Amino acid sequence: MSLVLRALGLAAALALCAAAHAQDGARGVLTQQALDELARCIAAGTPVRPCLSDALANPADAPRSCKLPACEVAAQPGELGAEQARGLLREIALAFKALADASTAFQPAARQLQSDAENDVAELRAGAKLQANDWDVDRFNHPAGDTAARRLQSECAPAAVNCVEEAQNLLALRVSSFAFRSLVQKVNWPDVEKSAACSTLLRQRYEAYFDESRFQWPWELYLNGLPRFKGKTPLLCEGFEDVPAHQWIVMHPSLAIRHSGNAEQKTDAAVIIELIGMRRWRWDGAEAVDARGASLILSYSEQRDAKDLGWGVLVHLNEDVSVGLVRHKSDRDNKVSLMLGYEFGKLVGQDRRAACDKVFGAGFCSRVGR
Amino acid sequence: MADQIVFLVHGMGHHAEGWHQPWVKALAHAYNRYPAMQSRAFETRFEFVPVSYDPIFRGIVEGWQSNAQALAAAGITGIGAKLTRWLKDAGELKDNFAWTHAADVLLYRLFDLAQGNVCAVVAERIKTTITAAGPGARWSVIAHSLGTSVLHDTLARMWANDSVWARDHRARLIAMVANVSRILERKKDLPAGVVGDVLASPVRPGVASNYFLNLEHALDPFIWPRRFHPFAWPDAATLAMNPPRYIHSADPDVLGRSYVLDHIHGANVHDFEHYLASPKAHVPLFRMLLGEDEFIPAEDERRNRDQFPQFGKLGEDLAIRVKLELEEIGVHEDMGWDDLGALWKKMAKILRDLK
Repeated sequence: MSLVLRALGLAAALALCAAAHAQDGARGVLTQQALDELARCIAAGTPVRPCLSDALANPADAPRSCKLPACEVAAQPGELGAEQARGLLREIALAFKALADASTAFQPAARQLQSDAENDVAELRAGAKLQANDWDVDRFNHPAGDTAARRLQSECAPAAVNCVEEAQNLLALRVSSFAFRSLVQKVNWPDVEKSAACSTLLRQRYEAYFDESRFQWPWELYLNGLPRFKGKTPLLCEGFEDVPAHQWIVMHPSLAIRHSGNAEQKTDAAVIIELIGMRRWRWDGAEAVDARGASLILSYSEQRDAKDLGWGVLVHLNEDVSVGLVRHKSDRDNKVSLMLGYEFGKLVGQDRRAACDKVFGAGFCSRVGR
Repeated sequence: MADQIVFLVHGMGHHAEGWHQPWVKALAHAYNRYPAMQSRAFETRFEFVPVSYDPIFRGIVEGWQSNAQALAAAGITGIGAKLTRWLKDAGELKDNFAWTHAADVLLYRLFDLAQGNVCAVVAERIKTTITAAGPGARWSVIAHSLGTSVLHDTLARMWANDSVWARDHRARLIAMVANVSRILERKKDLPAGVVGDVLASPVRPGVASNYFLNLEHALDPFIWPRRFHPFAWPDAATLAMNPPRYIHSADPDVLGRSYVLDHIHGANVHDFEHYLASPKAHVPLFRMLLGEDEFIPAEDERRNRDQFPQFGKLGEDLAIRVKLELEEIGVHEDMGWDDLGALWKKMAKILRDLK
């Protein structure tokens, strides 16, 4: 008899101990502050769900609610090795187990999360990429998400001790999921940083494209975006294509200075239209390098001893400056002119010195006192 | 750091530095009307991050203007003048609707390089902000007008090809205000793996975000051409979720609550602040941002709806005139994106007449 009693006593003690341990496991997830805050909400009779939401509002607030080492690690800068991550994730899986033992209302949810966590740890060991979205408590049908919170809301009588404990269990499930999600994000963080750096590079290349490529009139900008003109551009990051490394020049009017040794009118201003041309370069990081290009041009300038309209070629020295040769037909000998082209639009609105610097290089005009 | 980052994406038109301040003010004003949310301060809950792409459009049209002016100043005639004369005022900001508004839409829809640049800038802003916040950061995004199309196209690219964003960083809420993403969608000639169809892309509840809110004003002419009103998604399970994960303001939600926006507090019913003034717009917005309906109890919502005037300071007579004029624009769902310019002209005339 005494043996039976002793055995029963031991079993009861073990059960109590297990229950206490399980509760500790649940409490071990949450800070005292989070527990107090939740208890205050329930005692005040305010809806529990907003309270649960506020308790795990963001990573900066994690120390307020989350006692798991994973929360602290996730909030620290720096990379996280797979081995350390597995250890921390395993701890969270154990927290889910403790919650499954402690909770009545959320036992199935906790078991589900424990199983998911253990699967993820195994997958991480196998080298798979985990998905942090699976651990977002806001995602559809998360075991500790809307449905669980609604059930707590509808079944929970604020005065009941069980209500407080189950609310704490639910909060612990949510905080643990939050910790798991943050940790998985941290494991995959190098991908995030790489992706952000890639987008910065893409933005810089677009800036270079618009700043350093030759100015494009509307029809050119349109054509240069068409697949036929743009050609194949590889993906740079996710679904973002790289910036083209060439531009077509089509029906591009601009101004040039014409000089001819054998014409009666030696130097004058000319209007040129680049009928068709191309400029290519190579991307070196965010910089366009090795740019070169040329266009077939028509030139118009008033001539006394030749036709006003001439044709020729223009070579682009850089994004603004071009030189070329133009031939104007004449009854006697054809006149050949040297053309110096410049994108004068860039000078509009600038004072004389800034315009001069723009043409001849920064500081040039200041140095020569012009 | 606040509880969540909320990106704000502007619509068409010129947006100078600080453009988002009136938006934040309107949101803060609405927030302070609901006592249950005050357990945390507005600034503690939300960090608003403006996402600006307007400088790209301004840079392009100013380039056109200055080059056209340079040619004109040189006194050129003939084909060169004919090609460029129409661009001489492109960069002017004052009373230049065609170039400050319509050109934005044209540039974005027609010019692949402008669209690529805009999406790259928006993506960089979102990515670098989230990266700076670190693991665990929560984020949402509110876009208006042309910004809805920009946001859709950017997220469709970010979510393509099994990216880390698709795996790990789903948004909490995508809120589209005056959604024009369907009329401006491009389905062809997109980068590999990108779905441009707004009804088939990942930019939907359960994929790119947990919550999706679509707000449209019944009299806003811009939402009607190829209106964004999906029937195929979300699925029945999503529609049945409580609190609702998807709200289209034209339809009642799972609890039978109606959100039809038809108030007239000014002639510009397309305006962001005009939209957000109504409890039918800001109540679902805050509920979804916070992920809980109880942050705004039903009685608070009812009281605010009751107190919200249909016509505001505009007065009944003027409001009815606005309503009639907006209805006379004659907009319908079969219109194409190329009709948007004509719509804006009519809208601009109404705004001018009522100034």
